[in-house]
Amino acid sequence: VIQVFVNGLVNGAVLALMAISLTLIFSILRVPHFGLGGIFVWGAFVAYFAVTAWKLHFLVAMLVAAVSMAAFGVLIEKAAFRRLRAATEDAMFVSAIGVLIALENGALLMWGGETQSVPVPEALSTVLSIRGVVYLPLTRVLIFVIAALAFPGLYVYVRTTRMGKAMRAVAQDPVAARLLGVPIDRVASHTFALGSGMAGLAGAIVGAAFTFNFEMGSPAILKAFVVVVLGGLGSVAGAIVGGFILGVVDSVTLTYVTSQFKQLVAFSVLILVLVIRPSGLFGQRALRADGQGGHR
Amino acid sequence: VTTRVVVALLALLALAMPLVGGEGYLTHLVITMLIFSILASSLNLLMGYTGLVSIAHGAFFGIGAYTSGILALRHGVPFWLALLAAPVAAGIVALAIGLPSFRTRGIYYIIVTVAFQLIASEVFDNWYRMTGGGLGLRGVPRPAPLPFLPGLTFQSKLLYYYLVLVVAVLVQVALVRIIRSPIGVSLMAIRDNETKALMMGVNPLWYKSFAFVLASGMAGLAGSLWAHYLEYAHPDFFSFFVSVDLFLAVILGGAGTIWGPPFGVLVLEILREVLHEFVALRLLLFGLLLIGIIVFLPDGLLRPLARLARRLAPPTAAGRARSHS
Repeated sequence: VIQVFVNGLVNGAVLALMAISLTLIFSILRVPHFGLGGIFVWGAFVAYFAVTAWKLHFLVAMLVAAVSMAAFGVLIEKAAFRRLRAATEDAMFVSAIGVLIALENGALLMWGGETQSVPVPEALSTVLSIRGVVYLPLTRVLIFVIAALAFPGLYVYVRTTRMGKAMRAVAQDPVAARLLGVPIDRVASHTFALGSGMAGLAGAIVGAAFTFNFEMGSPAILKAFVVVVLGGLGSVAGAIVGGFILGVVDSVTLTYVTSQFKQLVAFSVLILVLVIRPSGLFGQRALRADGQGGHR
Repeated sequence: VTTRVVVALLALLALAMPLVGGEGYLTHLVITMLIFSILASSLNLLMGYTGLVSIAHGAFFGIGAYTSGILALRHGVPFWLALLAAPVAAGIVALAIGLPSFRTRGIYYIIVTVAFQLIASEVFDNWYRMTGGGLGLRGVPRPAPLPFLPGLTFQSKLLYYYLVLVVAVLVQVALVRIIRSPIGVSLMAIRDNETKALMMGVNPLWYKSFAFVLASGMAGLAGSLWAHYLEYAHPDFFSFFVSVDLFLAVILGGAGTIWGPPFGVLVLEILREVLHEFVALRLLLFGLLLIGIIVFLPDGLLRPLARLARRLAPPTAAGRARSHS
């Protein structure tokens, strides 16, 4: 039982990382960036090649994946979203789906369709286990460490730095922010760098702790979206809590309820939540991505 | 005058096509394109004229196909009745999912349709007793001859082609008439500004439901034609990816233009044929096309191409066309 719960928490941490990347970009720039699923995949591939081809240490490889995906995210924003800033959400969604399809199939084309795993050094491949109770490879512990570092780090960044302040301003009112001299293009670049870096990092670590292939991006980003909806769009606290809840629920149903119609339940719940409570389970009361609970 | 000439040429081409295609691959391709142009045109009623971006069109396509296929295969219902039952079933499901979903807007609405598509795919895949699951529904019969014309058996591709052509033309004409009618104007008013439409006395819920049910019913009709043509139905024919393909066809040809979506289907099918050995490359291209079109040509391909053609046409012909119209 504990094992199932722990597995759920590990999945939950990954989901929360993805959900936060998604909600960050959506709440600041109103871009529903499903292309992050593709970034997730590319992050795993970059980490894989950094370890196998360039013989880098795994931790360095993760950093490489995060930084390169951050840079790639900035390029994607310039190419696919910058000209659409005044367009509707629908148009941005079209572009985002295009990014997702292009990135996943680009990965397939260049690097093939096998399911692989990022090799990790000896020290990390040991397994924490209490006989009969819990079995937990260190790489999966690492997921927690990274999530635990990333969440407060993001919070501090958005709350204290000048750029973070600019992001909050754009999230509140892009036109007013622009009039007051906030450089929107730079804010957009930084936001995409942050979100894409986090998604790339999530991909790298999932690739090491589990396995990865080119088509893991779409289900991952869709689940992340479910989390974001459950938690309320733009709510970081909601994304974290929602991520862990969905992770545990997923793991429990996978173990105890071997239903053919597993997705049916999850997506029916999604539709119900959207229809009955469009602001998400945590609604407006939860903390927003800009770190403001309403007043300062 | 020029548009009439183009339409007449197209009609002649459509009628004479089997002379070239016969029972071969070309006829198969054209039947495929016609069925998918029914799908794209009906999706366009939602995306282009009502402002409802839907990624669930493949699901309604499938509901129609399975309804008609199962009725004909297991219950001995004649094809012509099954062909009518398919849009009815798809329309009823559309009403059931549509009414609650119109409470959501923008990206949330899109996600509801995505979720519905995935649920439908899972049902197609796992409800073995009804759909045959991953094995597919085998042996869906081709249509029996019409009651008064026993000579016309639809066993041949040739006659099936004419059947599909008639249905596709009827659907296209029906859509054009709706779009140009007061109903169409109301739909476009809702697309452009829902609050304003409401203030003008247009009931958005009613019109959105109407468009959604009608478009889904047409998708169901296309599903019936598809299943009885292939004599087979499989969950992969109605998957999320098919919905995305249709979505791309509409965007590519031009959402909110009457002939754009069928043109988009034509372009996509040609790309599919040319690149049929390179699936990854084709999908990569599709992804880049989506981005490129939405960023640079939000009107789609057809309108700019038509403008270009008019500029390149000999000045006298263009001048004559302008003075006549």
